[in-house]
Amino acid sequence: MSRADIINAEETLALAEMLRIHLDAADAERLADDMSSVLDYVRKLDELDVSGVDPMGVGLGGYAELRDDVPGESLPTGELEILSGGSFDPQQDAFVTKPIFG
Amino acid sequence: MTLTPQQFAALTLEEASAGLARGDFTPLDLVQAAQARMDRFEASINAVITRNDEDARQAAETKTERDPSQPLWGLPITVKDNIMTRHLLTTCGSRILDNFIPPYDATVMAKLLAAGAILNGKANMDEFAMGASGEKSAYGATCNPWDTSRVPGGSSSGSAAVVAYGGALAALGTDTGGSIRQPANFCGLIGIKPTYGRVSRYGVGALASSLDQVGALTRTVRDNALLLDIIAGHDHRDSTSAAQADSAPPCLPTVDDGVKGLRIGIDRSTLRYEGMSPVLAGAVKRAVDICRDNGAEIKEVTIPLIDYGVAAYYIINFCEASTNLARYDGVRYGKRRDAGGLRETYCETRGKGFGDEVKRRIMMGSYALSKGYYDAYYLKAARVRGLFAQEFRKLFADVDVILMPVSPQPPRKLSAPTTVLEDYLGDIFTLPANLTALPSLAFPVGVFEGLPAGAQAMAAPFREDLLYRVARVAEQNTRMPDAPWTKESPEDPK
Repeated sequence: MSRADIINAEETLALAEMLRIHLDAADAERLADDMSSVLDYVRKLDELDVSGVDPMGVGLGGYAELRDDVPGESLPTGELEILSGGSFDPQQDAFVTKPIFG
Repeated sequence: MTLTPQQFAALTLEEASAGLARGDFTPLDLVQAAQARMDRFEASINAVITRNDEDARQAAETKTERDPSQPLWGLPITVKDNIMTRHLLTTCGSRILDNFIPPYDATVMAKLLAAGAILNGKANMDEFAMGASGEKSAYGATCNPWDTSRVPGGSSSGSAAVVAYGGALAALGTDTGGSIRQPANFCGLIGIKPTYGRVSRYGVGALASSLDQVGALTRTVRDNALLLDIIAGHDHRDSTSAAQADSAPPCLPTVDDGVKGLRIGIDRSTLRYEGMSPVLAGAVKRAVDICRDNGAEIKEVTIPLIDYGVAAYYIINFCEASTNLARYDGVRYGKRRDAGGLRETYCETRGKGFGDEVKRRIMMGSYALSKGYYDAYYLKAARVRGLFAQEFRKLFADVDVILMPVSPQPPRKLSAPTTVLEDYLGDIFTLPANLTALPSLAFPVGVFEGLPAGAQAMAAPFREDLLYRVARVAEQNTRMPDAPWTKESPEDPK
């Protein structure tokens, strides 16, 4: 597959639509060219034999741990109000916020 | 005694702390001097997105009785703008967060405050840490204080620039593929990328969750070791935080132990790499010579698979970024661009809120993770990473520290034409530390043709203490000339 075949402007627009990113036609043309050059370059990884290599064995290195599954302290109501952008209603035991739309 | 802004710009964290202890000046004097530096230089350097002038002054005014248990008591520090700061605007260098005020502090921020530091501003950065020049911020490019026609490096561009010109005594940055070390190198500073898991990522805007780490940028090695010891440690709120972070050797106590007997590896083929600047290669050779002259054993090594690092790194970076940035939809936080319906609002918010580099990486990442391409791109890259890490770590059976270049080229001119791929290839020497989860420290060894240059040192997991010993010896055997902005003059740096 040549570099030009990797991804074109039409496919770029379709990809952007799936990712909920608005692009115009000129942006799509430019991004398609950039993306094709990079995706073409990374095909050099095909030169390596990586059969049997654990893909998830780096970074966490076996030393990251899960904390104990015990409840912690909740943030105070005031902090939660700031976080939620709403106000606490004790009758509903819930935070009442503005609607996102409408 | 009043403290002039020029005097402030010459202070280190340790010197400022000692000065406070002697009563030479007060925290308010330090804060006001830092602000005067920003007043003078920010118009031309653009290192800071949000200044914290009023709160910093108020914090300084409350610090009347020095607390010796707080190692950063009264010291003004800046943090990169992807580190959450409670009640202070945090943008990640992006328009999509131009109204975001976090309700909490990141763990690293909380630790700085607990140590007595004063937050004096949020540093400019490439948008969502995607960049290596400082030109990709939605808030304008940052300039290199050593030469304002050049880039400071990135993505911790503002963190490096503000410390370099003396608007803060130190700064925190983040490093995913070199984003602390490269700007530190370009601005004549010390910059650490710790072992993955040594410093908490809680409250840090994620770019690539398996690669990101928080670290410090400082003018001296001892300052950097001090800061790392403060911000490091296990954090139960970060599921990738290493338990070993609490038992790792602290760095400051041994920083002056020298390098006698240390085995230092150098792969000389990196100095002849295609496109490698002879000046920067010479800087690495100088670092090697300094270590040898001070009793280290120099050994030849071969860094494995270095030609494949950029490809593996960027696929992983794109894929993780694509996932991490899906949360920015304008619904729960950030700038929403209402376009009528839900889908339209998402598209407008993300289309207008993200810059080109961010859009590019999100799209490439999703492409690489999609059905039909996942095995060929992401799985392949993850396996190459595994192989890379296996081979790299074997090197540390025979050496204690590896010296490498930081960057193949010196900082380029602002807005110089460059391709996307050329930019990515500039990370070839820094990204191995991120791919392998190993610690790496950049340090200067002089000024060459008007620009600072140095080397980076890598070590085995949690052996940052060895890196600081190497950098300290280099520092003791290097005389950095006065920076352009230390002149007693109202002019901006050239």
